[in-house]
Amino acid sequence: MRQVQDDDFDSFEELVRRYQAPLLRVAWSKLGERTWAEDVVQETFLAVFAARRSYRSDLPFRTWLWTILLNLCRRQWKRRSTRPVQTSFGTFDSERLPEPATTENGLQHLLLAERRVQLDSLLAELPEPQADAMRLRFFGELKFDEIARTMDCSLSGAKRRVQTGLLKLAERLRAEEGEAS
Amino acid sequence: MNCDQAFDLLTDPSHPRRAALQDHLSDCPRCRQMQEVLAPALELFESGAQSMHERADSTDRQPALLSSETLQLADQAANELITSRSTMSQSRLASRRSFFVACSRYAAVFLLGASAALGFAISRSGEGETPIQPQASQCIWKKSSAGEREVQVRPRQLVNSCVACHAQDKLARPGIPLDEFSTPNRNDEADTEEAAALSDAFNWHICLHTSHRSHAV
Repeated sequence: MRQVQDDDFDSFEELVRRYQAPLLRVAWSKLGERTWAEDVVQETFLAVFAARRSYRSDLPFRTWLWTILLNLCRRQWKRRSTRPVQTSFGTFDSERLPEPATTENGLQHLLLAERRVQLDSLLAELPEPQADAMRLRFFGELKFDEIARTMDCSLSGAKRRVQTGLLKLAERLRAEEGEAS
Repeated sequence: MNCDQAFDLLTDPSHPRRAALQDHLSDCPRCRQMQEVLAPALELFESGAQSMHERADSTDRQPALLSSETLQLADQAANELITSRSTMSQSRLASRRSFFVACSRYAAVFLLGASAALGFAISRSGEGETPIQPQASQCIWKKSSAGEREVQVRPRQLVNSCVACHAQDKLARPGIPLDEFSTPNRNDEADTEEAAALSDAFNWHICLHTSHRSHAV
């Protein structure tokens, strides 16, 4: 980040390359729409670049980055004022599938996509702090202390959010399986 | 490894199911139970993340969300804007400066002209201090006393002639009050009433500059 502050564009490109995928996953899960998530991620990087001079190097960069993303997601969410569950299935567009490919991997993609939609809908039903903590943990691959700083809570609070959220999620899944059977 | 660290590893998506965790789970029934309870949720996250990974990978072939070139362009544009703004303000400053210079030049020329005119006027008035020797023929009174009565004189001409001589006399003898000149000379009655009336209305101050020759009537 210090190099970025010195207008080293290659370093910034490296930052984008490194964080683009996890940021996109979290934003996508939170917003339910890939294009919205892409917009938010792009905005996040633009905000980072624009505010690079004001960034204090003694602060952890990852926390700063994730905080920006979560705030932008909330803003985007308010702007759209729709639930991700409703849009998530609609965004399952075949043109974005990686390969035309065989029946086998096509089916696998469909199953994975279905699971992701199910996850999005279940996360949307949970309280936002718990859902966000889990998104940051599993999609953003953040450590618990980073989650705590990003969400402005204690380390034990971050762990509790993830644990409680996972328990609720598991409970709902079991309930769904019970209904299906 | 304690239960807290075990939970960290259990929920760590980058390094799932490490050997150390397995050792702990085999020894800790509480954490083992926790793992069994959370398993469906953890699997769901795993598959969800995998789905996103695949789809994110599929878009890697598409143009990057934000390239360094784009940022460089944006940065250059911003710099150019800043530069052009400063240049514009400089040119405005320069034009204002040239305007003020032009104004000051005009003012200087005007002042020079005014001072020249003033100087000329002063020099002219200074020259006036040296008595002008008017021709004797200019004094109508003298002409008349010399017996040239036949000369037809208009009253105004007569008054002018008298005032000119008296004004010069006043300058030559500053002790005499100026009011004396407001009326015709007591010793010399005006030839006609018309002349006296005209002399009252006459502007003496202008006449003071016309001629300064002392002339005792």
